[in-house]
Amino acid sequence: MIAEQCVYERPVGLTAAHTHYCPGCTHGIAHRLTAEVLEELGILGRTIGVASVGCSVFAYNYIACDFVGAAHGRAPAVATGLKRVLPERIIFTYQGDGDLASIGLAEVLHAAARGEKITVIFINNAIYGMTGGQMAPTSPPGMVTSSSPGGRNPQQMGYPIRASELVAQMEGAVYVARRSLHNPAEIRKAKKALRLAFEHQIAGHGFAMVELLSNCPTNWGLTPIESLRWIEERMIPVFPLGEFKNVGG
Amino acid sequence: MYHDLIISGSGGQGALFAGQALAYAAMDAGLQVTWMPSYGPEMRGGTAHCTVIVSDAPIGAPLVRNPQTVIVLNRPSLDKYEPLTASGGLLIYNSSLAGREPTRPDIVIVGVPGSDLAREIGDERVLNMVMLGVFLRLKPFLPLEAVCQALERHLGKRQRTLLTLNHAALRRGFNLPAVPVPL
Repeated sequence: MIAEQCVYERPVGLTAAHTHYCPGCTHGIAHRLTAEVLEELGILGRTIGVASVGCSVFAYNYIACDFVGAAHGRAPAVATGLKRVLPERIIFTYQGDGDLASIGLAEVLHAAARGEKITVIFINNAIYGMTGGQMAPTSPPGMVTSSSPGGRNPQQMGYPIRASELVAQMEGAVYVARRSLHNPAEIRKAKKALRLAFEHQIAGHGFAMVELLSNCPTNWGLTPIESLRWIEERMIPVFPLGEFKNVGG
Repeated sequence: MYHDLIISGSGGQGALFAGQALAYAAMDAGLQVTWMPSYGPEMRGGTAHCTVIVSDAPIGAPLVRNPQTVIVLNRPSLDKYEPLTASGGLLIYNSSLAGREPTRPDIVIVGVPGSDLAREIGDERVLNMVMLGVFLRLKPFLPLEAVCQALERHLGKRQRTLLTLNHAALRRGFNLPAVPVPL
């Protein structure tokens, strides 16, 4: 009889709680990558996450580190307070596109401008998920949402905001990358980007952000598989992948 | 004339919609009515309940702490609302998913295998209408037809194809032989 050997298990950085996310949601992947990176860098024990408002509002139940919950969009401000008072702790935020690019746009831009030594994880799925699929600042032209039922018309509703490009312009930002979670190759790159972002904070360099193109099968009205294709075909042309900044890297 | 109830279940079981059907029927009948939903942030699942108050006099507040009637569709709802039911009140529970029997000695308890009946009718999702049908028989302040018509009048375009199914479920619950006589 062959003895069983455990080759993969739930990362130490994830709790045993069952997440409430929809089937096929890439929050699960983003959580897991974050958990793995924190563990592999040996910082899980001194990390404080800042949870935001959106589907990931309960992130503090799922990622196994200390957490503070922030008001909508204000996670970078809360993170600023935490890092300034507890500089030896590793501080990160986990925010959706409503939280970061809509109500919280001022917070993240100023935190980046000030060069706050925090790590921002930006989950971009081009829609407001938790509130029922309304158009977000990141929704591409033509996208049908519950508040743009005829498709986003740029003449009336403007064009999407590219947060990574904006943040990268701030001198206080030292690492800004946009990656995607739509296939295993990109997921591996996403993990590398997250790792670099946290390494910059460990070294005390400055503000780091990783934007992760993510899905929302429920509100996009697609199956999980279709939604991954949608990221590739509809989001990447609007939000190009890559490293926008890597100071000293 | 005054009736209040809480309908509770997991997100997606239609607890809120059942309350709406009742509220619309009462509204169409010219009664005072409040319908107040409560649900968590989850897009799928989570807990969901609504408080419905029907009266012929203006209603002071849409909140009820100890409802006269409680309709529970799943176990967590049973655990939460069995203790909150008003003494002498009515608890209708979905025995298909309850996992236990309620034990309070001072309320009327009616178990209905709602999920099983809904499946028999053709779709597990009409569980809520089966349970509502039971309620309408036990508390006949509104005729069943009033709720059937309310569904016709207020169902959205996308759900119209399910009208027959919903009506069948309402009638099935209403005509269940095991249910005690109207209170």
